[in-house]
Amino acid sequence: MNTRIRELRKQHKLSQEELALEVGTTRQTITSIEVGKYTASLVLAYKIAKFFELSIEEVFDFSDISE
Amino acid sequence: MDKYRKNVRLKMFLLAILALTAVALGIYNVFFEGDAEPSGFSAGMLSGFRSGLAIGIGGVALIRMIGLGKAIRDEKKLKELYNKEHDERLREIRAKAGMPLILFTSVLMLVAALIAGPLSLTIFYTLLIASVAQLLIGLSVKMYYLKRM
Repeated sequence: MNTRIRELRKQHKLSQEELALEVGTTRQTITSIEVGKYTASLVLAYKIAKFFELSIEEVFDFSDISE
Repeated sequence: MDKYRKNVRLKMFLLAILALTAVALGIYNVFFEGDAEPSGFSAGMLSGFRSGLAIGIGGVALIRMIGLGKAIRDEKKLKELYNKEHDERLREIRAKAGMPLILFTSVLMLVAALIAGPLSLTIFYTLLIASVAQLLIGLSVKMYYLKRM
């Protein structure tokens, strides 16, 4: 799944570690989400979106999910 | 986070008991048990394994205790530790690798090997090899998913 996390992190001048600490996860998980290896749960996606003051759809791209 | 800090303190206390017990068992095994046991390769092997295991467990418990001690004094490290323990990706990986059930059964098999050791060396080796193989499989699966996820 594509996400805007890396882009948003850069905008907020945040490292992966800092973001991980804020949303209650590990740096490795943020890396995995950014490169598309891991799909965040709804709770984590919500925490990340809330941290950037955006909606989940604005951070995560759901267009490649088939119905 | 205060609740978690108490939890970490309790873990440190339990690890201290484990480390002390392991060291006491190791010392007992090296200085006293050796004379009481029959001599020979199998007895020496069993005694050596027990001492090694006790020292190993003591060492691991001590290292973990030092790590927890550092985390409890530093708020950032404590939060990192909390996040690592509650990370959803790591939880999924652990579940795929069969943890903590594999670890639990491996420890049980190791204890059974130590109990059966004086009765039959074949049972001791079988249980020991099965326990190590099980741990290695669990570890390999965990490493695989750590790379893949």
